Amino acid sequence: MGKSIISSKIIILLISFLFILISCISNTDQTNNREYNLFSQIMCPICDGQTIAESQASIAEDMKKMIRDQIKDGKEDKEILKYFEERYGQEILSNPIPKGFNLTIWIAPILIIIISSTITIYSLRKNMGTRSNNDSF
Amino acid sequence: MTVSSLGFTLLILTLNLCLYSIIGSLIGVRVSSNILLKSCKNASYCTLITLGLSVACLVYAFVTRDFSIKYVFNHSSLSMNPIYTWVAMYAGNEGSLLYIGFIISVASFFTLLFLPSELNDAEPYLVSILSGFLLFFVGVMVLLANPFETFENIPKDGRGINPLLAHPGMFSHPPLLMAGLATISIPFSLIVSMVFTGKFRNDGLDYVRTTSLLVWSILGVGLLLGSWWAYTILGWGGYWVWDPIENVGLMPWLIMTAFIHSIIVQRRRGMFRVWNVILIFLAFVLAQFGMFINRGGPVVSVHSFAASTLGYVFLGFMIFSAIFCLIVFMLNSNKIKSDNNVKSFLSRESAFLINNFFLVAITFVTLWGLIFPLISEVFANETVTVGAPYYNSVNGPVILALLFVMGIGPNLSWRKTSNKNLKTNLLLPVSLAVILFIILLITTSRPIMSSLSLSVLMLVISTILIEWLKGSFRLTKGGVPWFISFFKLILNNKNKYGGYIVHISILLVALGVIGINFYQIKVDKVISIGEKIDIGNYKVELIEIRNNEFNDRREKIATFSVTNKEDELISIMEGNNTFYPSFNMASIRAAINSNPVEDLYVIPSDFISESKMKIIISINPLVWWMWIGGPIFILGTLISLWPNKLLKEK
Repeated sequence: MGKSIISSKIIILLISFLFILISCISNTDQTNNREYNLFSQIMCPICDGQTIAESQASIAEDMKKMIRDQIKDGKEDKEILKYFEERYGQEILSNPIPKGFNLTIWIAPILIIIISSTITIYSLRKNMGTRSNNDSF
Repeated sequence: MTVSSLGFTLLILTLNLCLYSIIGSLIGVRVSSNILLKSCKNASYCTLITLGLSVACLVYAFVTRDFSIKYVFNHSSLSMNPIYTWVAMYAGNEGSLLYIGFIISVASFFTLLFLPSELNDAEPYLVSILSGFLLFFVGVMVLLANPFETFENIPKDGRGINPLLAHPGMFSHPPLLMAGLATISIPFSLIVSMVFTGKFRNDGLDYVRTTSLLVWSILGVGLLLGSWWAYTILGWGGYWVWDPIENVGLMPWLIMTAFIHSIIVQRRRGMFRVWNVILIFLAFVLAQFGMFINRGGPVVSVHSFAASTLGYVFLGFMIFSAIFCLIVFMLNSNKIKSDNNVKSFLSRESAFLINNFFLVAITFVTLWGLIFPLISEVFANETVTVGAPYYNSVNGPVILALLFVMGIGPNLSWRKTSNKNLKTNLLLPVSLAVILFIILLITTSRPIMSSLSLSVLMLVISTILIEWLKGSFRLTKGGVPWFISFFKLILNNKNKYGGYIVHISILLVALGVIGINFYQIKVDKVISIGEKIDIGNYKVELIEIRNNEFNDRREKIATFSVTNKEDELISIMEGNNTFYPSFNMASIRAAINSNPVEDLYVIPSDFISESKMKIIISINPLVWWMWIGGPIFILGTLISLWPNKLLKEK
């Protein structure tokens, strides 16, 4: 029994360690992250595959400034994204707009996961318990 | 004879050796001539020498700055840091092909050298498949992308290495990643040749497992190092942004992860044979897909630096590989039937099945996101970008589910687990996870997903540790301290506990990912010398800006001092912003102060004047653990690979 006490002691040590670790993390207000969330949703129009959050191009700087101004003007995230979409087309957004054909990007994987798991479970059920004679090694 | 012509001659020699060993082996099997087969095997061994010398020629040309060779001209210069001349040979398309060819020949050499005797029948097929794979790369070099092509008029100086590659990561990430992708061919050709000889049973399966583990760990370490590289500099978007080039490296690794798990089931229970063949075929084709995307594929990426016009050649090869796999599979599907079926959903084998299912699902989601822009363009005539948000939102939950299975799986026994056993094993971990979840939910204001992920981590790590501790208590007899038996246990079952250690390393990586995704703080600031900025628990002060002029680059180095809220000094750190005029490109290295709780991360993004600059400051919690995960991952893999069985047999 003493051993299980040691093991639970170690585990409790671990949980408190993880908790202390998390509570030490700097916790400041999240307002600045709103900016960065938006930056990382908008692609830099002249760079390959970079969002304006990462890009050093001057156009990215200008776009960041526009976003900051729009935040100051009290615009919603959706409106800001809409503004860029209208100016540059849908490809400026780092995530497809969830409507029309774009929906397939989410639906297809989910459908395939559901269908294939159903098939797997079904075929496992069917075979379970058969051919147990080979079960020697 | 010049170095360039020597190098090229060696390539042609390799080409002939490959052709000889392919054709010779196939004829040798037909006429059962052992002498011919042996000679073909030796020819395959010789490619190691010819390609090794060829690599040496190219490295020599780089180190001696032989600009008569176009490739050397394009990827080095007199003013570049000399240390990078040793690795510049794989900085571009042609040279990296040579590197890949060399790695294939090295890997084939060792595979054939240590081939266990029960696989002797399969050897001729193995020789011809490996040589065939090598032939493709050597053929491409000889016909389309010769690294030894020369100029008539020798230029005085070269263009220099791509600035983004002048980083310590250059010594490890590209060679490991390329080696990992190329050597998936080893377990692949082992299995194909075993299938050909109708021997895809338990003979030689340990050997397949060993090679797969090696390949898988090389690829894994390569990916993690790439992640670390991208983390330390600006420009590749952070540690992981689901960039197409990152994704094509990740997908084969995921499938290989599934493979190394399900091969265990085949070894223990004679199951999943067909599935294993499918997995290794998939991994191989995905690796070819990766090479295609990397070398001029149609998808936009931040780091397609090796871009070339060879895309379609690699596409062709990928399609060829896929057709080859399909034919092999269709012709031999009757030989690879399983002996057993899954008996219960609550069994180790079904846990492996679920693990495989999730891994394949993540791969599919990633592949789908990667090709979706093309699909959308063709079918909906709309240009879209698929970035990190899609992958995070769809893959995130699946990865979490996978981690969950990782926690439960080891508690299930083979064939069937009783509910009672499961309950006693999981009671403590589950209750701990629930407690942590509740505490986190009450005390933090973060999204619920972050608390959920941390609780799942808690569950998994405590199951592993409890299982481990229980095992070591069982081993403790006659007063041996439990912590000694804790380590003794590893030696008794290296596969199992090596696996556990790898699982722990994955958890550490996950901890870093959770920290940076859910707890990061990031701000843009303008800072002048002497000014202090408060962020989180820190104060950051800009001390000085230094300028260094070199022939090929202008370096600006910013020095920051970091203090805590009580103004006690924590560290002095430097970040630099190096501009390369001939490339019109800047390489920006972040200043990082790292500790187990969080990284303070400062990017010197732009210098406004001699005393004023723009910085991006962020606090990246728990990232430290992600990089610690790397060495632990290697340790775990080495422990599982340590050959105890081999020694006993001999």
